[in-house]
Amino acid sequence: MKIKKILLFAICILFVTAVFAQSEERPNIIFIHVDQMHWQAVSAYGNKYVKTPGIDKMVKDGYSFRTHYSANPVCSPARASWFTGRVTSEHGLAINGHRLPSDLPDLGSWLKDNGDYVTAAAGKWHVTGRDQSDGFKLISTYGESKGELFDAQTARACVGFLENYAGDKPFFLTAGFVNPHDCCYTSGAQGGEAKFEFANQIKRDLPPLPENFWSYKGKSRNEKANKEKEDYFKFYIYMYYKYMEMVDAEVGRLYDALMSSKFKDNTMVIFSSDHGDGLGFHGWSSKSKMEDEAWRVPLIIVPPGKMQNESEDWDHPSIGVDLTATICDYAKVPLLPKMTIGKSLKPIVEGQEVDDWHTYIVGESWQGNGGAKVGIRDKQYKSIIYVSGKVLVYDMINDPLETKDLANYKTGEKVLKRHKKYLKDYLDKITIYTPSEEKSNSTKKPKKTKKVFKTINEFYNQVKTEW
Amino acid sequence: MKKNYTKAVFTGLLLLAFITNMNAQEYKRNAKDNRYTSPAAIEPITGYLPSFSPVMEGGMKDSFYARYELVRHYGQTFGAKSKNKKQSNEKGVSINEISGSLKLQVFEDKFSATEMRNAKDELHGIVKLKLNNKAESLLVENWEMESFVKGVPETRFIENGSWENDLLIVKSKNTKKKQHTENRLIANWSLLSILSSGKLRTSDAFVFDMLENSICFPNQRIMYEGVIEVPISGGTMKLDSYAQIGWGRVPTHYLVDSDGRVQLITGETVSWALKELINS
Repeated sequence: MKIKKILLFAICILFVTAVFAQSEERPNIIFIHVDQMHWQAVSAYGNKYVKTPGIDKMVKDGYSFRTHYSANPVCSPARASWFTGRVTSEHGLAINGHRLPSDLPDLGSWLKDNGDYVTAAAGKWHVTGRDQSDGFKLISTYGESKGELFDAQTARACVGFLENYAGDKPFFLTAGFVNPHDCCYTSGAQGGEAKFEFANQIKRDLPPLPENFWSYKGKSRNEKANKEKEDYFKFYIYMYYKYMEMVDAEVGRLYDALMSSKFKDNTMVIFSSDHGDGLGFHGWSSKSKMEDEAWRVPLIIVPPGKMQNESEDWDHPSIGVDLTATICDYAKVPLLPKMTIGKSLKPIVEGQEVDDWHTYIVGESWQGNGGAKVGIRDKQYKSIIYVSGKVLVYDMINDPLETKDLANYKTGEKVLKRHKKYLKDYLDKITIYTPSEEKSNSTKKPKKTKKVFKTINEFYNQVKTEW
Repeated sequence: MKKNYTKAVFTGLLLLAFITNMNAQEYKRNAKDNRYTSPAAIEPITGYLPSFSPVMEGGMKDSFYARYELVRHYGQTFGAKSKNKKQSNEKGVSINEISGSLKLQVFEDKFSATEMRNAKDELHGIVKLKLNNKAESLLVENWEMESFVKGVPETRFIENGSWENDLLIVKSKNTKKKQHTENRLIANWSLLSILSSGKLRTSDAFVFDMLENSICFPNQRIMYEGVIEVPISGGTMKLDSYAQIGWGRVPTHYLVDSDGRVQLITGETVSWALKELINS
């Protein structure tokens, strides 16, 4: 009888231990990110001019957050926000070329130290000033951003990692694809029209221009019809979608490998882009603006075990640093130090009621066309406030293509008043980075960093004191 | 009268000098514009071409060994003098660099290929492919692909694939994938033999699905675009130009000489130039 009791007790202990161990099991995490992807460049979202079967599978298996925005629509600042969980005015890498201060932990070292994760990295990093090998085992990196040249290698290296990984610890794999960023080399920013003259041979394949092609900053452009510009942009969009399909093939290769591997049931996949691309919307290309084509980005979360119900969420506006909080939540580790804004999307993915979700989100952009600016987005409206004083207000439900600036209308004035309050509330939460805190070896361009942060500080002080 | 005559002659001479100067300028501009070429096909490698010496011996029918250089393109010159002596000082010339290689051994209906792409951090990507085509047709039958990053053993994996009855099957140690194809399946490097044969020198587009390193790129079209004259080291060369477009591919041009050697393949930022050709 006594032996029976002991056995029963032992079984209970084992059961409780097993349950406890189960609850502590951390999933593997694969963070797939691309560069300069327009939020609508996905065939599963209804885009007829591009075919993305790889990303479509993730859409089908996962949860698409359709009102997701980059913390900063520029490569390095956005990526630094992903990997530190701080917004750009907090982490100090405000524009491309700045360097991330050395004392901030990044997701790689954080997950290793707090979740006992094996962390591996392939492809693009571009968090300047931070040696990626401090936090990750580098399995395939290049030191530059060229998609046509390296994206296939990034995918294959990740597939190889999945084939070979036999460790007991969970892994966090960051797969940084570059395309469709190669659009910058086809035309525009970095010179060269490449095969633009080939456009005549593929006239029938060229996609139409966006409806707001001749609209700019909430008004019609006062330009005469410019066929050359229109033709150029049709070819640009065609090429952009080719780069999109090119990266989709590689993203699909990685996702297929995962889904037919032994890791498929205990791996969470998160897919996003650092920023968008003009793609002819408002008649331009490239990044850095706060109009949706540049600021808004795709975000898909495929939780461990998949969902297979193709869920879409339009009601919860989210920002790049939410992605960091979500990864920490799934990994069962605390948030990174001084994360002020980011909230985990996991409860939403799991269908829970979330009462304290963001009423608004704020994005920052301290470089590029029109100069420094912030974007404020709530469920219906968006304001873009330039440091120079220029203000734009859009109704994103009734005017999603941002063609009518409401700033000088009563509705717009009301929205702006509310958004200014939001911005002050946001500033109450964050601590703005000051370059004087920099250690001597943390930046090679202290003057440039100081200049940008002088602008940020002056602007935000003005918001705090005068608004 | 005499004064008027002198004035007329003087004006005439001035006009003649002006026209001559204009012609000279026009000629100079044309020379810069490279009037002999089709820019679309060679635009990504205009900085490389002046140093390109085509291979003039051997053929690509049946069995051969070929070595290509990977010519990468990263922007164009802006006209200012560059510190890099290899770059052109002219405006609008592609900035090119050799950044990898392809070694291709074709033996009738099968081939093996080793492709290497160089990374600045020395983590070079290497893909080795052994592929069997269905006899004569050059349609894919089966293949083995080995991929790894140099010095990183945990990236190494092998995939085996086959294509039959429009079904593509790819297997590795831990994974299996099936995919239906829409058209005849042809491996990217088998295209060299097909182009070399001259069969595509017609007005009809050649439609196929392309297999590249175990990935199927459906709905590709190759169109013959005629002969173009390309500036190369020491002069120019006439080449047949074929353009490929399709899902997931940037416009790709194949430039083939009169003996069927595919001398140049141009994408956007990745192009290939033939450096060696040996018939076995």
